[in-house]
Amino acid sequence: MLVLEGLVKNFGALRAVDGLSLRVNRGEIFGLLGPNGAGKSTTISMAIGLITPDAGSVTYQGLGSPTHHMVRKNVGVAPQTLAIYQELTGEENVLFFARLQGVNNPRVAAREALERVGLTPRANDRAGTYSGGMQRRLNLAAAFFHKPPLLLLDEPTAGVDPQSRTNILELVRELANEGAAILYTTHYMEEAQKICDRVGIMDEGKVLVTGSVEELLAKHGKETLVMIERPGGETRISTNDPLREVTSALEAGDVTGLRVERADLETVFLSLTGKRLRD
Amino acid sequence: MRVILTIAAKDLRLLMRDRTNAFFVIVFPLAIAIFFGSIFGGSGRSIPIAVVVESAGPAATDFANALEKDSTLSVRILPSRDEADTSVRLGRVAACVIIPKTFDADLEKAMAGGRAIVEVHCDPARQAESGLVVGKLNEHAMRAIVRMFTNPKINSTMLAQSKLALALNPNMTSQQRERVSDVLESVQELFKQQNREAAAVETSKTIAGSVNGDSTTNTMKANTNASTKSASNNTENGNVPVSTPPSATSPDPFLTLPIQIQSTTLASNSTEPPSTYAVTFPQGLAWGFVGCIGAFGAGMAEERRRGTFMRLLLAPCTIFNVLAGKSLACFTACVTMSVFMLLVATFGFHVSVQNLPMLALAIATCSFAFSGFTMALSGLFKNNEGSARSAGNAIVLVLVMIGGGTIPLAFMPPFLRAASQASPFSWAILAIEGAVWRGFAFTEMLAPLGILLFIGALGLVLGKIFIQKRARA
Repeated sequence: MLVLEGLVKNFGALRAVDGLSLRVNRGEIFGLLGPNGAGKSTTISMAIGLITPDAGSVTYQGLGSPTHHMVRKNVGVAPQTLAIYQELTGEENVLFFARLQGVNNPRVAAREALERVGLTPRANDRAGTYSGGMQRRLNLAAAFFHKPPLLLLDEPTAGVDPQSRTNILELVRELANEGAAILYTTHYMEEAQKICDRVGIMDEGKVLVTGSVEELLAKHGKETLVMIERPGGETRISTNDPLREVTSALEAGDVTGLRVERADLETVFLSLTGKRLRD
Repeated sequence: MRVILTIAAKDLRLLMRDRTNAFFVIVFPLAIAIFFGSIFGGSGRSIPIAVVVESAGPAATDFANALEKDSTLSVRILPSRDEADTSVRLGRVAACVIIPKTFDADLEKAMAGGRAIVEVHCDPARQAESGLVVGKLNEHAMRAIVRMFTNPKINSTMLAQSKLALALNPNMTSQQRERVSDVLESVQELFKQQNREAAAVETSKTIAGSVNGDSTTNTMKANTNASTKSASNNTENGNVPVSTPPSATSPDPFLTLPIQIQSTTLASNSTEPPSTYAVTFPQGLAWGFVGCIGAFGAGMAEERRRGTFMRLLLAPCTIFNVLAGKSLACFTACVTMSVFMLLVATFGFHVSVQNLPMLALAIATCSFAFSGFTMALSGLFKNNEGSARSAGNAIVLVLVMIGGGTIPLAFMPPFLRAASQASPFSWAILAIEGAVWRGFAFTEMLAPLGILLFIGALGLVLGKIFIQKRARA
């Protein structure tokens, strides 16, 4: 659905994106995972034609360049900043963007979108009175009300409460299940691990590696660490089969405590870059 | 068009939801108009006036010369009444002074009730200045009368003409004629004595070697200088120049003077001169435009900061559509504010509009100009709403101040008046005044309207370029 090839973008002496290539397919959530400043938002901006890349290309399968009207009609974007009008109500916000998109029956589309993000009870309240999480959900509703085949979501859960986060993640999964191709940027590895079909790990403008979470963990994650506490002290076992190690420890008896640390994307990032994701 | 209307409707809704913006668009300009209307008439130091000398006689020339020499007046001699009136209506001068054809002939009959009239056509926007002009004219009239009575050539002609007029006056009884004739004889004796004394003074001056020339002319100069000096001293002391009233019982001494100043306000086709509110409401409108520029200019910066502008750019429409929608909202706000202000002016403050279609045209053109101006201004600054608002306000405030939004141009020194030509607000005020009370013909409106249209179009083009540049940055 979306193909980015060899994208390069410099801001003065700073190379924000350096030869980035990726592909997002229909019904797939592609997570672009990286720390702040890795170049994720710049990539999104180039993908939607707001920034012209210094090199490389952006192609929407069957639709043309990102600035083409047909592309704009078929793409939904939820920017990292809360791109909503605080003075308008929730419904007025989505309705405005629906009219701008030229959606047939924009009011119905707006109400459906608000229903899906759980904002119907507050639809007629001004967005400025919403909590941070509700504003995030509204920001998302303004991206998918027209059921676009491609969604670009830039840190859609930044700064939200756990309830809103769960709501947003479930909704994103639903949208992908309905056939949308989703490019999802985040610096929360748990999110990427939870909902992304494939992940690209990005640092300093480059995509270091792409693949499914399982593939990345298998290839770049370390073995699972099993920590067994006994009266004599703690034993640490690095293993590919933690269940077997735990079972044998329990059978041996004298176990006062047990901890299992599984490899995750944080570990993958650490092993690839030598630094932590949230550094 | 759907996109443009959608964006315009949204921006207007945002405007009305923000009480600060609503205040600056509606309440503030109204307050300015009412405040200045309550305290103003307008005044200045060197007052520009136009003078038309229709009489070829020496008294008229003398009177005009005296006006030209007056340092408190900046005199422009024009060949015709029409040109002079146009200068007033276009705001180039505060008033025009007409010295009519019969000025000299009327003065010569002064002793027989003849009266020379000097017409003054005043700009109603500059009533304080016009008042000063009328005061100065009265002062010069008094000096002219002094010169007239002390100039042997003039007073002898005047006496002869008066005697002739007396003889030919059919409305007088023989008794009245006889009494007036006796008075004239006494006056003749008085003149003779006065002329002899003046000649003696002049001779002694000549002997002293200070003056060499015609004694009559020098007498006139001496008298003129004396009266000028006296009047100047009076003026410097803040006193009204005092002259002997011709009749002790007359309630208004000027009514019986041989030179009378007739002042009228130049408000064509209007039975009453417009109120000060007719002058201050256009100024108030200028502040309304400032409010609209502030609200929509900052709104654009705010949209860019929040990211909603990005959403607009990502919609299936062009930057021109976005800009046109925002311009339309700004235009609508400007028109609505103008209509509201003028309704208040008309029904609340009895301001009568002379030319409604012309006013509609002026408002539409001003609104277009300031919409374009807003787009250029909002594209000029970076995304920070605070800095955009501050920088934009600074530019707009300077322009509105030099454009006559706070202090009438008449109060300003010449270089600022010249600078005001660069302010769109001065053209907007002129266009609106032209329709409300200046009685501009369409051809006279062409200059301000043309300039405003140019400003609007230029603003839109620059706005598009700036915004496109920022969107791609």
